[in-house]
Amino acid sequence: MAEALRQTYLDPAVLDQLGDMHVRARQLAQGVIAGLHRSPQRGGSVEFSEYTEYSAGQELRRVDWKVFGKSDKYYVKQYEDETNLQTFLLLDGSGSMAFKSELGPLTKLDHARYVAATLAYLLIRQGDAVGALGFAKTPGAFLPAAARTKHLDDIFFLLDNLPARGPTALDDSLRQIAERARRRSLILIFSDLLDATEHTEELLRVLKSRKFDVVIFQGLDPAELTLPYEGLSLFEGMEDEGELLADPDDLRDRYIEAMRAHNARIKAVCNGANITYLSYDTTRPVELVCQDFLRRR
Amino acid sequence: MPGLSEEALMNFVQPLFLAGLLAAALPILIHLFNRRKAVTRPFPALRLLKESNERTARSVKVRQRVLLALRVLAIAALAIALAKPFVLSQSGLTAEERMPTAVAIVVEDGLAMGHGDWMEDATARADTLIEDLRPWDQVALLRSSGPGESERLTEDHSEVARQLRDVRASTSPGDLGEAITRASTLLASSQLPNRRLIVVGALTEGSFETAPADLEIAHPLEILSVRENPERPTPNLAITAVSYQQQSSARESAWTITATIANFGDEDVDAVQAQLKVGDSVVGGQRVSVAAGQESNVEFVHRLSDPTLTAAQVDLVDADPLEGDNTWHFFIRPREQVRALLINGSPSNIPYDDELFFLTRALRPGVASESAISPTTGAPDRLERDDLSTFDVVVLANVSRLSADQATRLKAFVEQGGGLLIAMGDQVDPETYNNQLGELLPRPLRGLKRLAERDDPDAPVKITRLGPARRQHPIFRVFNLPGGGAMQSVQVYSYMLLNPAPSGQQTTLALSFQDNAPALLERQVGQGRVLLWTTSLDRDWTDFPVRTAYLPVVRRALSHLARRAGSSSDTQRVVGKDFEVEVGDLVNERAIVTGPDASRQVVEPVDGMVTLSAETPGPHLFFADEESEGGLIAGLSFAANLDRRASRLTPLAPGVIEGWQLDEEGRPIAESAPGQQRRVNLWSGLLFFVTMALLLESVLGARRSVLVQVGRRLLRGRPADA
Repeated sequence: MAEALRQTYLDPAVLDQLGDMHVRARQLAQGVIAGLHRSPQRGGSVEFSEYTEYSAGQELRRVDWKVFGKSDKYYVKQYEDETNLQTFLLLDGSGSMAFKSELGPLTKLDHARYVAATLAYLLIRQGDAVGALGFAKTPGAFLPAAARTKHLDDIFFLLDNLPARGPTALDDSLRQIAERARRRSLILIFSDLLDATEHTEELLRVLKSRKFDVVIFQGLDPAELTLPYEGLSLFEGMEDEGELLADPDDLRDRYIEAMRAHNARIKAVCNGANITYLSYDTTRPVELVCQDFLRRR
Repeated sequence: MPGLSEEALMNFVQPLFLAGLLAAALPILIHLFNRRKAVTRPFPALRLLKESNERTARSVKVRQRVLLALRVLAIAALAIALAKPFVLSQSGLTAEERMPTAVAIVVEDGLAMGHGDWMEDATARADTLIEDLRPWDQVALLRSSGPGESERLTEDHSEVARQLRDVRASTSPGDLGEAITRASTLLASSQLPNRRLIVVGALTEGSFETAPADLEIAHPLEILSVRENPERPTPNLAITAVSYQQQSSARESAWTITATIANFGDEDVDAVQAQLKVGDSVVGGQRVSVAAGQESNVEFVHRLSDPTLTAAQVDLVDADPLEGDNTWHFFIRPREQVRALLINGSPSNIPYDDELFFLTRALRPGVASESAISPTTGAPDRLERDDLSTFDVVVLANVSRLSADQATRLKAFVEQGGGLLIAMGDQVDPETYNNQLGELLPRPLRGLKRLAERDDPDAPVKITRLGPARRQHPIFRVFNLPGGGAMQSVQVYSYMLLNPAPSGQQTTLALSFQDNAPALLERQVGQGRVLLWTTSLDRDWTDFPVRTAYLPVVRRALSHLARRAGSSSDTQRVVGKDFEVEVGDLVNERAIVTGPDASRQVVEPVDGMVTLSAETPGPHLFFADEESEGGLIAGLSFAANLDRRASRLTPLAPGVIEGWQLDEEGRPIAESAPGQQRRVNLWSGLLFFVTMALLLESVLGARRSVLVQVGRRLLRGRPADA
């Protein structure tokens, strides 16, 4: 099952590329990544990390006596603590996410699934705990954060079964995650944010003020950005907003202007609240989105 | 003016194209269809779209409506433009701007215009019209009395003014309708853009020869009436007829002269003086009253002192301003009767069995004095008893035999100029005839040819009929007219066969039977003539007496034998109209007619006919060959009078003139002739509108992106060009 899911979401080529990128990224920004992902506290960990030579002042119980018996040197066995970084993937499963125009290769939801899955894989491989919450009309299935490789399967299952229907419940989901997640968790929100209201912005600010690290992935279809249609069209809303009969030619300029204004407002909010804001369209390759994310970290 | 209402109306050259207006519904249908054809598109950012739509909706809706309206208007305008609309307008047309105009001025100069000062008024008005013309206008003067020599459109206005000065009221009523038609034809031939037809006159009913309502004029008509009151009939009295009658048959006796006076006005006329003038002296006078629209007779009795031809006239004294019809000229002449002696060879107590039953009735059909032939009947012994010189013609009807004395007297009568008609019958003995009358008979008799009895059922196949007549013979000339073949159906059961004429004897065959046997022969004997009728004058041998041709044939035969002209003297001769006079053999070379004012006509007879016309009213004397007392033929002299048609001075009925300007469907026909109106074509403006509408439509209908692109390119191109 897990294999099948991996097949669905994880293109080996993408993962390889990410792997390389990750290696390079680690080389380039070692400190930043280490500082981010490594626990500042040592000891008490369950997983072996490395051996270091004993130096004065260190607890003797940490000396690995087996190694001493073999090499007659004092090495201290260091264990990595369970990382204290929890990452939550919030994936918008509202009806609008099912949209795919002729210009886009994937629906917005699929694109977000790929990005989320890739990042989940990377994070878990890296030892971080990853949780997930899908939301549509209401906050959906919640997966607590865990760093086990097995946990990845559950995340993939959740992503796979996220419906793309109905209105979004972004605000409720943010509230829920704020209650459930530990402080300082990294929260990755995948949404088109078309329904972002002032309330949503307020919630984002609250999250940020509670020391949550929030990253917003706003994925949009290219058609949503350019309104490329021609001829009289009957536009139907995907979240029960009704319909509109209009000639796109008449609306295009004003629509694009409105869309830009909408995005600019979100961006302004994010900047003000020190929230990482990544906006892209679905033609942007998944790995590039991931790279964008990693570069911004 | 009818022009005012026309000005407001839009007219179409090709009204059928207006059906294209239906196509204006197409854009609306397409619009509705397109709405239904809208593509359904699921779209997530509908909220933003709706916001945009709310902000743009108004302008979009306006633009859509404008587009739709433009398309509808463009198609409608195109359809209307194809129908070639135009309006007639007088506005903006100053005298200087007016296009060159062809003007046809019809001046009524018929007899009626002799009324008072109508003619002077009319010429003065026409003169003003000519003065108002500009040098490049063409003008023609037409007269209702008939086409002049120089009836043409000319730019020489002074020439036309000169013609106008010569116009006088004519002696004939003229035909105004015909003159207007001529003017219309003349205008149609003009190349100038504007045409005017102006009629100056009184437009009386009498000035039209045909019904005025039938007239159609394809040019705008202006009427300049010289009447004081164009609505009411102008009062006018006229003598419309004069008849006279001899009170007894005596040669010097009293004559009753009856004149008919008509009142054409709408008011009664009391006690107008009528007088009779014989020769140069007034011999009688009476006062007569005539009710409005009625006729009255006035009667004079006059005893002629001189039994010869006498000119006379009846006058109305100071009756009304139109004097021409207040006089009637006529001749009083002793009746020139043909005196015929009819010898009855087979008398009977039963009237219709009498030999002369049909002949006497044919010669004297009504009252004795009315007939130009005065028959006397009797037995053969009258040939001895009577003085034959008191007769013009002797008729032998089925006479069996004559005594030698009778035959001699008869021969002398003929040789001295008398006429003899010999008719056959069952009493006739050919041998006796040949012996006694051999010197008179055109051909000797041979014997009876009996084809069938009258009651024989097989008669139709046995009998013969009257065959071809010598058409030019004076007796049969009248049968040259259409329907003159009536003689062909006459049935003949028996006739007298003839022997050939002795050599050297001149005989004319005037009529034969269908089997080529002679029916009527003529022979000149001395000064007289003999006619031989080979069948009977009653119904014994033929049914001719009960046929319509019988009466004219026997009357003309007797007139021919008596050397009387066939013309019935002075019937109503009208000035200005040609008429024919049958002179028979009375005129050898030429006929001379002298009228009042020393007018003189000389004509040559053709086939015994002359064509004459009178130019002035009054007595006209007819002379044969030489203008002397001896040549005067009283019977052919005549008096001419003015045509009484012109006496009716009633104005045309209301609506008649308007009717001239309408075609059969009641539409004004002035459209084809702009006259003073300008024809303002609207289609060029409409086509311009269509072009602009289509241009605007393509701009409004184009995608904004395309427009922006074009605009940018233009802006970018500008510095490069500079």
